[in-house]
Amino acid sequence: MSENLLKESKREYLETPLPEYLKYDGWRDLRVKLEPRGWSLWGMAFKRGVVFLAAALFFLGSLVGVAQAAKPGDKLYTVKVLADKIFAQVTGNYEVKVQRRAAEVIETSRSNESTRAADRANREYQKALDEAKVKAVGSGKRENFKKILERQEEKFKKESESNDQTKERLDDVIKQTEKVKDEIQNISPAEDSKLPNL
Amino acid sequence: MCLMDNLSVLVARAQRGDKDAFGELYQLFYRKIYRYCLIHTNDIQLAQDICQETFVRAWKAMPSFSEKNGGTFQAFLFKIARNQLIDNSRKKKESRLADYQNLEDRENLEERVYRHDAIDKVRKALGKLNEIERQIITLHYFEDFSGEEIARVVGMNEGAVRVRTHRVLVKLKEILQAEE
Repeated sequence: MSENLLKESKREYLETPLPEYLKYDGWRDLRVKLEPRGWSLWGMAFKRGVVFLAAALFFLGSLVGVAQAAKPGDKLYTVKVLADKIFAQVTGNYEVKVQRRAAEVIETSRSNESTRAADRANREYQKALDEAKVKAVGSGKRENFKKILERQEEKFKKESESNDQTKERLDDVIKQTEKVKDEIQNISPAEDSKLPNL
Repeated sequence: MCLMDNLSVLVARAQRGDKDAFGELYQLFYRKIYRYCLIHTNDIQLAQDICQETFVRAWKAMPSFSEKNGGTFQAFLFKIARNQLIDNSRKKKESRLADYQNLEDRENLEERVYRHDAIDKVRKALGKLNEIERQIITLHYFEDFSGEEIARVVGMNEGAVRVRTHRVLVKLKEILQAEE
């Protein structure tokens, strides 16, 4: 019985009468509501662009976040250095870069990191020093930068004295720091203008 | 050129922004979408509105439609219609069951003209099923959709749809027998 009822209801369903409106005016009314495809294509492309940009920013942000824990020699260390470089260029604060590279030099010298990692840390510290020197001289912040270098030198020496293992590794960076400090001190105002702008 | 090829051509033209091609698609499918909306809303005016809105949304979403991996334009349209029905149901904050059971309260003259006994009884029985079960029955039994098409509309995998279809049909027959 229920089989027959289902069959009958299917027949009635398929014969559902259409309202007059849909039959005669449905498409005419609908047509005017349809936006030109060009606009909707642009709209869709724009939406996709925004989604892609948001995803890219999220990915980059996460990458930079994770890279903050990277040490010299790690694969993500380059990302960390690059992020610091961009931060320094945007804010004009090159001293922070020096401080962070110096902290890495101390860290690698303390641990039993490979010579390669220590060398990389030293190289990056030297680069940061050179860049910060040029910027400090160019912006007239020599005194401030000199103080930072003095504090940094002090930290290196303290670390060097406390641990024989780190002494050898830190001697080089102490010399580098002293050299830059002397250069800043001895630079004449006339020479300031000759320094290249980074 | 067979009907499916012709349909693909119309879809491709509509995707490029050809409103006339979309008009032909409308003529091919509006009857199906309307009766599908009507059986689920039991309200001619509402079914008409949802039917029209389905085509407006389909037009907007046309560029994202693809026939790859077995997608059909019919399933694409019904999926939009189903989402509209769900949205409408949420907006009204009325239970679907009440809609199906209180048929007499909602009847208007036009409805009385077309309504027949068999479909009314089945509609009442459908009211005792949940939303997914109602969709499966309507698409499988009334619209003769393939398992793959139903899966696309209701967002389940094909295997699960097959199992569910069999169970729901048995359940519906039991409900109908109990009411006789």
